[in-house]
Formats: sequence, structure tokens, C-alpha cells
Amino acid sequence: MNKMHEIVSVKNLSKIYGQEDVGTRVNAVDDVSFSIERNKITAIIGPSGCGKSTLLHLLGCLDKPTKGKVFLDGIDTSRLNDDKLAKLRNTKIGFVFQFFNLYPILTAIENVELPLMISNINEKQRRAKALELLELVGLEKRAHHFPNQLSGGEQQRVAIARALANNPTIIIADEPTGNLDSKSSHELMKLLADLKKESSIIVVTHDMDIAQHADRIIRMKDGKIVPKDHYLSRNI
Amino acid sequence: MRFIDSLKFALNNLTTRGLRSWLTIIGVIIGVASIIAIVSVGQGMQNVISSQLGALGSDQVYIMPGSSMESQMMSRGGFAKKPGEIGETDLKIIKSVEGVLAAAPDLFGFVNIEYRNEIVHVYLMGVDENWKTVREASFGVESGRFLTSNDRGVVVLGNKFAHEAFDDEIYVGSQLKIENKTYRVIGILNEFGGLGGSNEDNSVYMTLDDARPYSGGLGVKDYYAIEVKVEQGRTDEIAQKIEERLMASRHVTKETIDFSVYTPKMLMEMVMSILGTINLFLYGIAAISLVVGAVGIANTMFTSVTERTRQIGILKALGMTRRDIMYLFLVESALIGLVGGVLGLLVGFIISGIIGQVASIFLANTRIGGASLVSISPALIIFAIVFSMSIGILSGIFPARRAAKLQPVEALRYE
Repeated sequence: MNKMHEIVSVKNLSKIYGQEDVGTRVNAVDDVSFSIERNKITAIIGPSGCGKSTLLHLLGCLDKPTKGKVFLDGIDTSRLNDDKLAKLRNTKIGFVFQFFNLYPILTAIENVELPLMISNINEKQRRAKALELLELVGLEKRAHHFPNQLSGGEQQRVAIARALANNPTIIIADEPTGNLDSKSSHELMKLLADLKKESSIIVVTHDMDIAQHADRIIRMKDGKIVPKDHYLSRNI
Repeated sequence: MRFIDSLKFALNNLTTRGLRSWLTIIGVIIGVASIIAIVSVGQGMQNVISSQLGALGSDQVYIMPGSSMESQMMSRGGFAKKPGEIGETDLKIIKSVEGVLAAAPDLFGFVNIEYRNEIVHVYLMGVDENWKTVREASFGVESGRFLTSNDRGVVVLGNKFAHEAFDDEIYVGSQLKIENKTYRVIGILNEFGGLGGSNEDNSVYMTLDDARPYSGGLGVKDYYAIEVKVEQGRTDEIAQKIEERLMASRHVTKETIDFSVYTPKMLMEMVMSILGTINLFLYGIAAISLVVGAVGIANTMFTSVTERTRQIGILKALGMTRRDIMYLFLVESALIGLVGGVLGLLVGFIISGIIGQVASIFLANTRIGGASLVSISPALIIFAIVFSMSIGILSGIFPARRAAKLQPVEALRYE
């Protein structure tokens, strides 16, 4: 794969929890290396406990690896301190979580504004941008509702709008359809598919149906990548 | 993150937890209000007392038996102790000191006075005609005349005593019974005013000879005190001279000295230092309530960090730095402090206003009644607000640091 086309590159990445001497050592991610192409949807699949969420957290700079390196858009994230990592998350990464993780005391539009607020965009500009994004996900009429006044599908669409706020190069989604019904799930995946023109998308899921929407599937088992990569085309 | 955004965010968080925020704020209000009330009343009292003492006249010197103000005050307060010996010899020496314009010996006592079947316990002063000169600045006769050395069996009344002590008004010429002897009123004085509504206005005056039987325990030629009027502007210097001359005649040294010379300035310093000590004690109590308020803020903020761990995780995932998070929590705790401080200030004003009103009812028949017992300075207002905000920030530091240190993935995992 051409380096120019890589958005994520992982070298000998390991994340170990617990301590060996007390017998609690778990290799959640075990010496993993791979690359991910730009402007594709990549699905990471595997049974629960296989380390796929841990891998995603490492890719999203929410966690630090025990060993190995993660390059995001050519940046060696192991060399960045906490504040630089925060800035990287703010400007390059958009997160979508299984439990939506909207800020409960903020309205939909305020939630979408949050990443913009963090990057010092003034109120007028960020409000306009947030409204635009809510329109994109079809929720402009729900802009002033609080998360607990929205359905699961709506909350996840707000989360996607929020993930897009800072025009991220990567969208990282952890079981984004885990709490949605199948109709909402497919709508959501269609929405993500539309976004890959702008961003690269990495989705963790254990739902093969959802993985079908991906351009590429990475399978994990016991903290390792199952060797055979499956390149999928749209019409499978 | 911009400050205005942190502020709005913190406000949003605080209003969401309305009741708990208010309970915490009430803790701060109580602390600040008690400090404001105590300090403003304390300052007001100092102002009143210094203005009242200032009215005594700066050209007076007092000579009293006893070596220190403390023992003196105790004996004055109790009236049980034998008041020591300041006598005729001392009076003569004092009068001979250069710069002394007049010297008046005093006797004191408490007596029961009967007037038209009503009995009142009253403060009796034995004075001679020099007293009028010594007290010139505030002395005046409302009706009748003042005592002369030759008067016997007559009294002069302080203004308040004459008009307020008995149900029936007393006039010049009225007859009063003191310990079964009859005295005729020959004069009523003008109001002196002065410290504490002044003993002077509530006293009865007799000549020294008439008063002596009632000033128990004193020798035939002894006085309770000698009041001296000196040349303007030389009070300290002349007081010093009087002390030196008396020490020589009484054969005492600085160590064995058995009398005291006071000037109004010294009295003021004494009273102020006593008031200062009392105030310090009260401030201490108020400070404790502020500390309790601060602990309340810290507690609320810690609880809030724990409760909001997941939310902190979200904010970190979205790119908030440690500093942003820390700032957010500090702004919140500072806001609690600020709101508590401002409201505490208002409550403190109200409380001190009430204290002022109540005090003025009790002191209505004194000159102080008209003065403001409560003083609120701009410095106090600024102090209260800055202080309560600082307390908010200080008690927020540890919870805020804890929040800032959370790792995003751990915070997100928190249920």
C-alpha cells in the first residue's frame, strides 16, 4: 500500500492490562501491525473480549499503548503529550460511541458545537456549522432537544454530527449500531458510507450485517489480527 | 477553550444541579454573612467609641490610685476593693505643676435616692467647684446653679437623671431623700453625652464633704481620682511631669509605682485594644464558619467529579486538555464562592442592620443612640467578594486536579 494512501498505520502495537506476577496479565492487543487506507470504511470485527475496542481506543488516542506505535495521518502519536493528544483528538478524530455519549445537560445543537467550542470557534460560527451538520443528519428540527428527549437513532445521529464538527480526517465508531434497531442501524451505516468522501471511517462491530457495509474487514481474535484480510466490494 | 465558554459551561453545570449547588452556596453565605456582620458591627463600635472618647477633650489628665489600668478597672467595676490613696498632698503637688490649669478631686459611690415614694439606685459623685473648670468643654447648667465649696445638704443632678429617673419630673427646689437624709436640688446640668451615655448624665453631684460618707472605704483625706485640665497641646508632656513629681513625693519608682496617670489618648488605646481582642475572637468564630463553607464546596466538587467522570471522559475524547477540564471545575467552584460571597454580603448587611436597629433601641437614651453602630467599608465589600472567590477556587483545586488527571478511556468506561 502506498504511504500516501495510508491514514492509519500501526506498528507492533500491544496493550497489556494487569500484572504477570499476580496472574492478572491480559494481552488485550498483542503485537498487532496493519495499515488503513484513506476514504474507506474499515470494519474491525471479532467476538467480544477479542480486544477490538481496546485497539480502537489506541487508534483514537484515548488510551496509550504498552508497546508499539500508532501513526495517524503520518503523525507518530507515541511522541505526543496529553495536551497534544487532546488537540489531535479535537482536530483530526471524530468519535461515535455505542452509548452515544452525548453530554446530557446540553441540547443536540450544543452537543454538536462542543468540539468547535473546545477549538475556540466563536459562538455565531459554531452555531451555524452545528445547524448545518444537524441538517445533514436530518435532525435540524430536534436541535434544541436534550439527549433524553431523543430516540436512540436520533441520539446516534447527533453523535455523528458532533463527530463531523471539526472536519476530522478519521471517524472512529465503537459499536455505533450496538444500541439501535436494525432499521436505524442500516440508515446509520448509509450515512457513514456517504461520509467516506471526506473522512476515513473505522467501525468496530460484532454484527456481520453491519460489517457488510465496509470496504475492508479486519478480524480480531485474542488480541491478534486473523491473518486473512477480506476485501469486500459493494455488491457482496 | 475561551473563558466565556468555560463560564457558560460551568453555569450550566451548576444550574443543572440546582438544589445541591444552592445548599453549598448557603454554606458560603453563612460564613461570609457572619464575618460581614461581625466586622461591620465591630468597626462601627470602634468608630462610635473613638468619637465618644474623642469628645472627652484632649486637654485632660486623670490621676488614679493603683499601679495599672487593669487593677483600676477591676476596682471600678466591683466597687468592693479599697480604692487606694490619692489624697490632699497629691492634689497640691498636681496643682503646682507648670501647665496645670485646674485640678478637681472626685469621690464616687452608689446610693438609693427616694423621691415621692419611688426609690432609685444611682451613681453619686462628690466634686468641688474646680470640676466645672476641668469639664469646661462640655459643662453647662440647664437650671439653677452648680455646687460651691460651702454648700451642704444640696445636690446637683445630671440631665438624664433629673428628667428620666423618676416617674415624676424633678425641679430645682425639689427635695430628695438619700439614705434617710433630705437634700435639696439646687441645679440641673446640661447633657454631657460622652462614652456609654456617660455616667455624668445619670449621676447625682454633691460636695466632697457631703459625699464622703457614701464613698465607702476611703480615708478622710483620700480621693477616688483627680481630674486635671492642662494647657492645650501639652497633655502628654504635662502628664509626664505630674507623674514624675508624684513619684518623687511618694518615694516610688517605675517598679513600685502605686498610682496611674492617664490621658484620653491612653484610655482610647486601652479600650481599642480590648475591643480589638474581642473582635479578633469573633473573627475567629466567623472564620470557622467560612472554613466549613469551604469544606462544603470541596465536598460538592469532589462528588461532582465522581458523578461526572463519564462526562469528563466525553469532553476529553472531544479534545479538552487537562487545563480546560481543570479550568472548568475551578470556574464552577469560584462561581459558588462568588455567588455565596455576594449573597453573604447582602445577608451580612441585613443582619448588621438589624443589630444596629436593636442596639439603637437599647441605647436610645444615650448619645450613641443617634450614631451608627454599623460601619460597612468598601474595603470590607471587596475583601468579602475576593475572599469568598478565593475560597471557592482553593477548595476547587483538588477536585479539579483529580478531574483533569483522569485518562479519557478510563473516564469513558466509568458507569
